[in-house]
Amino acid sequence: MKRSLENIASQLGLNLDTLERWIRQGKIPVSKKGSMGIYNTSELNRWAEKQRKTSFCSENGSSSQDSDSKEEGKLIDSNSNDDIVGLLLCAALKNGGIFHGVTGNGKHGIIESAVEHIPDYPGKDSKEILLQLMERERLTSTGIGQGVAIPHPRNPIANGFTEPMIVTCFLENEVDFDAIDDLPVFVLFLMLSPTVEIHLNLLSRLSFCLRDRSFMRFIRQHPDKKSFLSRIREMEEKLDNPSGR
Amino acid sequence: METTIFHVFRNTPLGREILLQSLYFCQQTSSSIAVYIPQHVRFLMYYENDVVQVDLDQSYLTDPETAKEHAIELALSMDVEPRFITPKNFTASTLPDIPVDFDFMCCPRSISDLSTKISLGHIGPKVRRIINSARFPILMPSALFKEWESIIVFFGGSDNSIKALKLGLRLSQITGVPLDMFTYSGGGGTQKNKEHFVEVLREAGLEDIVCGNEDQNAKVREWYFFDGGKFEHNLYRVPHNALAVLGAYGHGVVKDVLFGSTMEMIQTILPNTLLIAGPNYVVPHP
Amino acid sequence: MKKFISWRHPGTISIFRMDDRLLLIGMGIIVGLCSGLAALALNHSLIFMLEFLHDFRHYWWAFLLPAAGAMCSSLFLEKIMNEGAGHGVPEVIYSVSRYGGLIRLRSSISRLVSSCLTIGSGGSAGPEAPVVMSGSAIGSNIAQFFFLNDRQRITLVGCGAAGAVASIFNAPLTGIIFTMEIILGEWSMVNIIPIAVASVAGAELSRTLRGNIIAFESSGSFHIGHPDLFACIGLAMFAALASVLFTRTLRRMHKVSRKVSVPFWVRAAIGGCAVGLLGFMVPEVMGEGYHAIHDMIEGVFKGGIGIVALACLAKILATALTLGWGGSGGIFAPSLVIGSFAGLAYHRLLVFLFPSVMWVSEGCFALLGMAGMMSGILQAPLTGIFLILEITGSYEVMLPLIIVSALSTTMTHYFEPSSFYFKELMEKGQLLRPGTDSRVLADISIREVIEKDCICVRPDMLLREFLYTVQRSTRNYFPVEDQESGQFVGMIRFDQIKPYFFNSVMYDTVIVEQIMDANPDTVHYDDELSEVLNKMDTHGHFSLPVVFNGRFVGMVSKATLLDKYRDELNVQTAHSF
Repeated sequence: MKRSLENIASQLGLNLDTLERWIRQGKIPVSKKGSMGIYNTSELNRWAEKQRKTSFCSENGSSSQDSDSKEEGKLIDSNSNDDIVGLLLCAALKNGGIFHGVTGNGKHGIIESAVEHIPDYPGKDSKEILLQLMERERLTSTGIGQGVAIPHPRNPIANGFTEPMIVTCFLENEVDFDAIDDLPVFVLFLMLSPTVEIHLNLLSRLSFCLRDRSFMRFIRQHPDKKSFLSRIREMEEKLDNPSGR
Repeated sequence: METTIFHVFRNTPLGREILLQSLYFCQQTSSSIAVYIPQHVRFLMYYENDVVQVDLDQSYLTDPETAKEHAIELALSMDVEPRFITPKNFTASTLPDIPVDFDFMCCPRSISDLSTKISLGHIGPKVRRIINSARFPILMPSALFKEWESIIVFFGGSDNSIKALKLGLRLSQITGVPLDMFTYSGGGGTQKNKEHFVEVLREAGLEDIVCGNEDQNAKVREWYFFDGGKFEHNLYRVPHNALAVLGAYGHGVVKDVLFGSTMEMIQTILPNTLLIAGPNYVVPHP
Repeated sequence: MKKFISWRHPGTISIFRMDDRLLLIGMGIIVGLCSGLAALALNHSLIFMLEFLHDFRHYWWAFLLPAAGAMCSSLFLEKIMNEGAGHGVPEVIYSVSRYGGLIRLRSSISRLVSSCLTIGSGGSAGPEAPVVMSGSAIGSNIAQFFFLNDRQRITLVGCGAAGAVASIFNAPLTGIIFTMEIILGEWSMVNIIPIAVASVAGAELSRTLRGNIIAFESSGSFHIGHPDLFACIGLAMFAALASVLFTRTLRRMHKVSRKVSVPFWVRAAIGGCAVGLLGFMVPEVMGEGYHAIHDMIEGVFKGGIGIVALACLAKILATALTLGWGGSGGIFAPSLVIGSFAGLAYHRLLVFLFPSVMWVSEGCFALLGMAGMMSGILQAPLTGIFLILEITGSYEVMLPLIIVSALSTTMTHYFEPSSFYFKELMEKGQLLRPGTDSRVLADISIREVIEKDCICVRPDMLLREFLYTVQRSTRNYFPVEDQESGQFVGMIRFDQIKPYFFNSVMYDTVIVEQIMDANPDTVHYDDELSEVLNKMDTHGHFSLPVVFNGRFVGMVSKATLLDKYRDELNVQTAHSF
C-alpha cells in the first residue's frame, strides 16, 4: 500500500513528526518515498495492535471518515458540522414539536397529556416514560420558576431512541407545579435525550434562553411554532458566537 | 506558518552581503533567522541518512569579538530579530553538532574553500552534499546583495521540478511577489511540446493554479517557454532581479558529485540568487 | 505506482520491510569481513613499522621516534583528515545513541593511520579502539550506502565493531560481547544474530590470513588450588586500584596538557619525547606491549617485585603521556599490559609473604590481573572474562577469572562510577542507552508533543468575553496575544481566575491584561524535553507555552507527554515487529 504520510499518521493517531522519526529509526514497518509511506496493511495492523492498542484499519482511505459521519448522524440528520454542534436545541425542539392549548388535571394530568404529544419513534413506550417522569418529579419538582417546567426522566431513554427531543407544551391554563418559586406553570418543555451528555447540553442551552428576560416575555405570549423556533435559533447562534466572531 | 532560515555568519564584508541577502529573504517571507557564529572551524550536520562535516574556511572565525555585534546590527537594520544558535551537543570537543530542523538554509557557493573560489560555475563539494541531503531548500545568494522583485521557477517536468514549482508558488503567495516560470523543452530531436508540460502539471494537480481557469486567475505571471535555441542563450531572458527557484537532482553514479546538466548550466550562467531544492526536499504540509 | 525498488534500497523490498533479519545477516557478513580486513591491515602495518624501526632503537636519539610518530599522527588527524581527535569509542557510542549510528566516512581510515603512526613509532597505546572506530564507520557507511534505517544502521555499526575486535584478537565471542556490552548497551535477538555472524566472519578472516593463533597461549596448564582462590580477592583489589590510578592519570594528564599553550603537534611531540625517554629506562612500556604480556604469561619475565611494580607505574605514565598529549590510540592494550604487570607484582608479593604456600604459576596471576584490569577500566565484566578466555585459551582458570572480574568491577565502581568510555558522555549527559528515561526524552521532540488547540485571547478583552471563551475551550490555559503584532504577551491559567468567576460585578470591570501572568515560563522548539520537564518540576507547572520567535505556538503538557512517552517506550523496547 502506498499512502501519504499525513494520512497514515492520522490513521494511527500519531503526530506526523513522530511517524517520520519512527520511520527513520526503523521502529515501524513503513518505508518512505518522498512524502509517501509504503507499507503492508496487515503487517502494520499487527504492529499497531501490539504497540498501541489502536488498530490501523484501512482498506480505503475514507473508512475512518465514514465511521465519523455515522456517529454524527446519530445525533441529528444534518450535513455540516457546525449545525450539529451549534443548533442542538433548535433541532431538538423541532423534533419534539410545539403544541398549544394543552390541558390536563393537576401536575400528573398535565404531564400525562404532554407524554401523549411525544412523537412516535421506534420502541416508544409511553407508560414507561410517564413512570420515569413522575419518579423524577417525586425527587424534586422540575418547575424551575417563572412559570416554566422542564420535566425529564432521570436516566437517558433506551430502546432505539436516537435523537434528542423537547416537546414544548403551552398550557391552556396555568397549573400549579410545586415549582421552586411557587408560581403556576404556563409552559412545559418535556425533554428526552439518548445520552446524559446531550441532556446536559440541551439543559444548559435551554436555561441560557430562559435566563433572558426578553425571551421570557416573548414566550409568555404563547408564540406560534415558526416565530418560536426562529427566536430560539437566534438565541442559540448568539450562544455559540458570544462576541459575534 | 513560521519558517526559519539558518545562516552561518562570516564576519567579513562578503559575509555581510550574504547575511543581508538572508535577511532580505526573511523580511520578504516573514521568516525568522537563526544565526550561527562559528567558534570552531568545523561542524557536523546529521541528516536523515548522511552526516556532513562542514569544514569552514578560516575567514569564518575572523574577529569573533565583533561578530555578534555586527550580525545584530545588520539584522536590526532590516527589522529582523536574529536568534543565535549555540550548539548543545558535541561529537568531539571541537566538533559541534548543528541541528537541521530548519526550513531554509543560506549557503554561499563554497563554504569550506577560500572565498576566492566563490564564482559562477563553482559549487563547493560540501555545499553539494548539503543540497543532496537536506530536507530544506538552500538559498545560494549572489555575490552582492540585491533585492529581488520576482520569483522564477525553472520547470523541466520532473518530479523534482514539481516540488520546486510548489515551493515557488508558496513563496510567491507569502511574499506577494509575482511568479514566472521558465521551461526549455530540450533541443534537437527530444523536443516536447507545451502540451506535454501542461499534462505533467495536470497530473500534479497544478494546472489550474499555473494556467488559471474561470474561477481563479493564474498564479503564474508569465511562462517563458522555449523550444528552440540553446538553453544557455535563452537564460538571458531571466529577469535580473528575480529569485531563481530550481530543483536539483543528480543521476547515475556521479550524482553525488554533479547535479543534472540543467542545474549545472544554470548555476554556471545565472548570477541571480538561487533557491535550490535538493532531492530530499520535502514540500512542507500546510 | 512507480517502481522504485533498486539494489540500493534493499530496505524497501517488502519482505525485508517486515522482517529484515536475513538482510541484516547478509550485510553483517560483508561488514564483518570489511572491518576484519581493516583490523588486519592495521595489525600488519604495525608489525611492519616495528620491524622497520627496530634497527634504530638502540641509537641515542631513539627517544625522538615516538615524538615524531605522535606529531605525524596528530598532524594527520587534524590537517589531512580534519577530524577532532579522541580515541573513538565514545564517539561511536554517542553517534549510536543520538544519531542512529551515523559516522563519517573519513573516520573509517583516519584512526587506523594515525594510531599506526603513534604505536608503530613506540607510543604507548592500543590499536583496538581505532580498529573499533574504523569498523563501526565501515558498518555505518555501508548502511548509509544502502539507505537503511537507523535501527538497521545501528546493528551494522555493531557488526563493524564486533568484526574488528574479533579479527584483531581472533576472538569471536569477545567481539559479540564487547559490542553488546559497550557499544550498543542492549541485548536483543535482532541485534545479536547479525553481530554474531559478523564477529565470526571477522575472526574467520583473521584465521585464514594469519592462521589460527591464540594470542597469548601459555605452554603449561594452570592448577588452581584453594589458596589461589582466596588470593584472587586480593588480586581484584590490586587490579581495581591500578585501574582507578590509570583512569585518573589519563584524565589528569589530559587537563595538564591543555594548559600548555603550544600548537597541538608540538604538544604531541613533547608527549612522544617523554615516552621515548621513559622507554630508555623501562623498555616494556613502548608500543602496545604485547610482547611483555607474552613473557609474563609464559612465566619468563625477569625482574623482581620492585622492577615489576615500577614497570606497571611506568606503563600507566607512558600511556597517559601518549594519549593525553595528543597521540592517537586506545587503552585496551595498555590496560592489558598494566593488568598483567599488576598481577605479576601481586604474585611476587604473595611469594615473598607466604613462601611456604604452593601458589599457581605467575603466568596465571598475570592473566587474572589482565582480566581484573579490563573489567575495572571498562566496567564490563563479561568483556573482560571472555577476552581473557579467548586470547589465552585457558579455560581452567574460569572460576578465579570470574571472581577477579566481578570483584574488580565492583570495587572500581566505588571510586569511578562510570567506565572510562562512558565517563565523558555521562558528564555531558549524552549516555543515552535504549529504553532509558533520558533516551526516550531525547528522542521525542517538542514538535511531537505540542498541542495547538488553545484559544488565544486579546489583552484588552473584558472578563465577561473571556468567560465565554473559557466556555468554548477544552483547555485550562489561555495564551494572550497582542492583536496587532501577534506577539505573545502572557498566559492565563483557568485556576488563576477562579476568584473572579462568580463575581458578576467583575465581569465588565476587569480586563484580561490585569489578570494574566505577564511573565510566564516559556519553552522553545530547540529545547530538549528533559530541560522542559526540569522547568516544569522546579516551578510546579503542568503545562508550559511554547513560544517561537515571540509568537505563541502551542502548549506542552505533562499529560500528553505521558501518552507519547509510553508510546515511545513501548516502541523502543519492542525488539521486533
